Amino acid sequence: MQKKLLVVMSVALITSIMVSFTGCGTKTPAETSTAASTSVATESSAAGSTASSNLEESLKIDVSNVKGSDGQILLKYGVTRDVAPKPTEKTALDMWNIEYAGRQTVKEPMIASPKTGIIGKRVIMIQQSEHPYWTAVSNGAKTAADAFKVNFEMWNPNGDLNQQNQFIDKAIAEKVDFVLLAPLDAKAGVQQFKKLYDAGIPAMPFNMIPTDEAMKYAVAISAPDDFGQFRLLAESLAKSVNGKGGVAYITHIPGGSPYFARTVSVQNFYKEKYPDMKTLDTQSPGFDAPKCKQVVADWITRFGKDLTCIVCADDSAQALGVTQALEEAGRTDIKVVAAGNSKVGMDLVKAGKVFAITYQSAEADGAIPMKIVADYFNGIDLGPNAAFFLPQAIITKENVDSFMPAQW
Amino acid sequence: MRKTKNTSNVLVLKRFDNSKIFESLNDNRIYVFLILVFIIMSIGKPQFLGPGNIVPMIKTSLLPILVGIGFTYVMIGGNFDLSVGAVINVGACIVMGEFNRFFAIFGGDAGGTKVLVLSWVIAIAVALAAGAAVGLINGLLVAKGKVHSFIVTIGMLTTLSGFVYTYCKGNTISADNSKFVDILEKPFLNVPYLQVITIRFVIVVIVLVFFEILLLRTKWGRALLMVGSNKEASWQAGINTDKKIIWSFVISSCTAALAGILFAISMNAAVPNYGERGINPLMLVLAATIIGGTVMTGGSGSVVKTAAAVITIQSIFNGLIMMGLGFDAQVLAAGVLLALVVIYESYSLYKQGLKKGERVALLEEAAELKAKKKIAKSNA
Amino acid sequence: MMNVKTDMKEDSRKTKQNAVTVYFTKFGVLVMIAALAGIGMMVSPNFMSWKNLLNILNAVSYLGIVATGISFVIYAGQYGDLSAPMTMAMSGVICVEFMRYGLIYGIIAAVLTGVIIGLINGFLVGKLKTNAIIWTLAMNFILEGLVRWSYKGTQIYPDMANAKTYTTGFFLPLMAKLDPNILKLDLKSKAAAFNGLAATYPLGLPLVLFVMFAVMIIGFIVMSKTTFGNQLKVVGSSYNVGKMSGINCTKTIMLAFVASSVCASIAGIFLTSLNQVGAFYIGQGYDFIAVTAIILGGMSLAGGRGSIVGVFGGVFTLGLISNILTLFGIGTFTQKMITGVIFIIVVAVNASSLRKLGRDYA
Repeated sequence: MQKKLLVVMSVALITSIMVSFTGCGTKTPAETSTAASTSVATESSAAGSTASSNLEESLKIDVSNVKGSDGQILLKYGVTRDVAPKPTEKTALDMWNIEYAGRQTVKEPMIASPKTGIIGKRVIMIQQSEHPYWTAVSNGAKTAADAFKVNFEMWNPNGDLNQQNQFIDKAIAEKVDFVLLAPLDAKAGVQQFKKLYDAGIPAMPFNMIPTDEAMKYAVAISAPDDFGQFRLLAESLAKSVNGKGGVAYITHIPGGSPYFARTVSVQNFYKEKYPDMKTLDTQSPGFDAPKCKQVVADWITRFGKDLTCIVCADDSAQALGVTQALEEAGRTDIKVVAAGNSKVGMDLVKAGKVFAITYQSAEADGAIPMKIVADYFNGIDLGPNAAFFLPQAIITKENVDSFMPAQW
Repeated sequence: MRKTKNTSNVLVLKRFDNSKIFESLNDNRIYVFLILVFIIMSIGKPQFLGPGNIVPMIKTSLLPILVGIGFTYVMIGGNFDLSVGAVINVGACIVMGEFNRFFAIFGGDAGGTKVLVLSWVIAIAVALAAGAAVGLINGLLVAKGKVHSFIVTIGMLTTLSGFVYTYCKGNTISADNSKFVDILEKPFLNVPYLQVITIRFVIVVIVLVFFEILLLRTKWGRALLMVGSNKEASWQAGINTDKKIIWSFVISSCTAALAGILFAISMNAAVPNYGERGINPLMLVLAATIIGGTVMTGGSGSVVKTAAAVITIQSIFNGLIMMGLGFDAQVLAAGVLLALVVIYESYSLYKQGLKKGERVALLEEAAELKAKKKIAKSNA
Repeated sequence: MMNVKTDMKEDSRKTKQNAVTVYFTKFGVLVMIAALAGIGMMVSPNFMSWKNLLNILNAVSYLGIVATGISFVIYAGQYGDLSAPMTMAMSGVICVEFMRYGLIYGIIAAVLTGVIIGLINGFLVGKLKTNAIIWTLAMNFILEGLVRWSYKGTQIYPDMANAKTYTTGFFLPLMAKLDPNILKLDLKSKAAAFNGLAATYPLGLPLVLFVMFAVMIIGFIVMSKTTFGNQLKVVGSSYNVGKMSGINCTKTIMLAFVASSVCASIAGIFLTSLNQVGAFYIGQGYDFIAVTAIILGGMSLAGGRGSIVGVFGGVFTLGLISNILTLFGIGTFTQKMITGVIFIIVVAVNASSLRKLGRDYA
């Protein structure tokens, strides 16, 4: 009797849970995704949105005044740096290939725009992971999608490459109009973009630039200019210590493009321009504050007075661990710089514990790709190697207030 | 008062224990779950059953299904293998790294198809051998060194994740020639639903069926089941228990390495940190193995049921995503499902434990006596 | 003593006693610490300075608190508590939610969260005898789902008090509903107090270090000097013997799990304070590292063997290894590999020496 009861009960429980989930899904579609914004042509657009053109209406949409939650103008392109000449030496060439991927690619013939206007197009954004940063990206993308009246969905694989591939297969099967993809891995991006291209779906990377090989199949690039920003950051750091000192680096996850932009490229930059900025050590303790703290404490023991600067790849957990270790050792003379503009990072800058951080607007990271998609469907020629970067800035104690409140 | 309640319970339980339908239903409950999930999801979202959703979903399940085979074997032997997550990456990175090495040695693109095939064969063999070596070390430490498998494999997990990073110097490795990739992922038939049949799919199915038959239909497999349920007794019965356990670990690492190999080739990229973010494949497989009905202490289980459990979990994830829910709902659903199964299993064992030693016949007699007395009383 | 000797003679098993096995069983992790300290002194003259040793202790203090808790579970013969990471995250989040009424309320609420999680775990494992690893894994999934679900992918900052903050969270929407004035509450000073938890230095040392020692000393006393500790040892070494000798096994195991969750909660509060943000990712990875440290400290997964002193040793050893390898200039991932290898070797030697002395068979 009890066995049967238990089975019945568990089945009922599962069912009720599922049903409640279903309920949530239908009640609050805007919460997580399926932001079928201001529905213009939601259902019909799935298969053939080419039927009717709304080009004129689409071109009329004015987005120049859309603002992010930090009060900065959202849909504004940053400076696109010119491509540096291609070096010949092997390691320098590898770095160049990462930094300028997609900038001088000989592309496959691009999938032509239908030029039927952006309104009502089904655009899928495939993200990387569920993290407060990505929540802010979603918010930005949603704001932009609402402005453009796009039938917009966000799919989040939560860091799982296998799941991301599933989403791509799904997007192909559902014949969506455009895919915005933040590849979880630069090299794995090749197959992903190739698949989309072969299926005739236009796609472009955002947030992270895949390898040059993958860019053959992509429409354009939208990404934060990590390399450029970090050179600016490195420059301001070097100037503040008169171009002389010992630098230690805490890296992002090795192998990814943030690793090269935030660590290796800075090291190369110093080697070239400020030869007296010596690299002391490089460690990858991940994003656990106590571990970063220990690494820095070990550095202070090991290098003593030689250590004058620390470059972090993350301005929350890493920067907190670093600054606390410095405080405990009484070494507030050591200058710290970091990437990103989370609330924690900006508070640290304001308190004078961190010298400078980069401005990487999470909301713009999600919003600007949407603008490019709009241009694509509105028939504006993007050019063969279009690259759009997010607005750049270095945040120091002087200008930190203008970037408040933080996006995440 | 209490006694009557007790006896009635016993009687009812007894009746149900005899009911073959219930028993087989309970044994195959994972299939019931699977069908139930499919029904609920397709009611919630009719597109769920479309080929555009089912095919990608099954493709995604291939990796955890392969890993689940070995994991189930180890758990049947009464152990845990927590190192599988890292072995996936070892398999993936080594196959790519070694392919590039041998491809270059043999002369690269100039060598033609022969060189290509030869390089792939060698690379896959090396990667599988690396997996087998890991399994051998795990197995030796557990069986001969008498260290608890939980500890050995945690140590192995740490060691291997460090090793993989050092092996690929932190970079993603992709093969210098991607011809093989397209062959592996190309569907045989371009028919809806049957698009899922690619070489990768066929390999997984063959491995799955092979290990299911090995486990349930051969002397070797029955012996492993016996080792899991009672090590002492099987040793007394003349089974080389140590050898069985070592083999189970070797199988586990080999299937995990194979999963990594196929995954890497299908994407033409081997990532050193796959599984470090999101739901760890290890956790997914562990949950699937339990939900699939493998007994936690060993001695019973089936790899096909584990595979069905993997698909069940994936369909829950997939359906929830279709309903517009995020990772929070997925992880919650996985947790609740796992918790329900664990509680149900333990509760029935607990009930058995309470029943142990009770002599049903005597209780029946007591009940009859009591009933008689009651009748006598009412008559009086 | 005599008894032991005669027992040994009668024992038919081979009991080889070489120097290594004897030292290992007697001093265990201390041998390793001494060896590592020797290497450290060779690497850097600064190694033996107070400052460096304090740094090592300081870095592992969060781990130490968690490990002390989990060691109770392992001592009770249950393999570990995989729900520790999310217990840490959840307690941190709850603490941030309740600290707006005052820091002490935040801490009480967080510890209560830990107690509840521990009670649930303990009931399932102690009463229904579920496998601890799998049950706590399920629990970890559920807790992660709950935290993510209620925060909708955002994180909570102690000093943020705008209307948006009160739309997500466990109790925040309820708080706002019950008391609309809460929106106007100034959180600056309270947030500073909360963030200060990880940045307070009584006697020039970080507060969390004192907390770790306090937790460890209490743990040590409870485990080896009280009736509960003895009962735990009996239950840990043999559940059935414990049951037969009249111990309430369910209660004992429940208390062990409560100890584990409460310690995780305390560590979670401090880690959240250090990160200055409450989020689901706080505390990730602490479960396996804690088990590594505990096993390194000589505790046996079979239960009933080991002590908190050993746990301290294990935690300290992990810190030492990392410190020395960083002083060598070895990268993080090679460090990981070396740590793993050392761990496997130590555990294998430990197990084999125990068996050779005839003191254990598992």
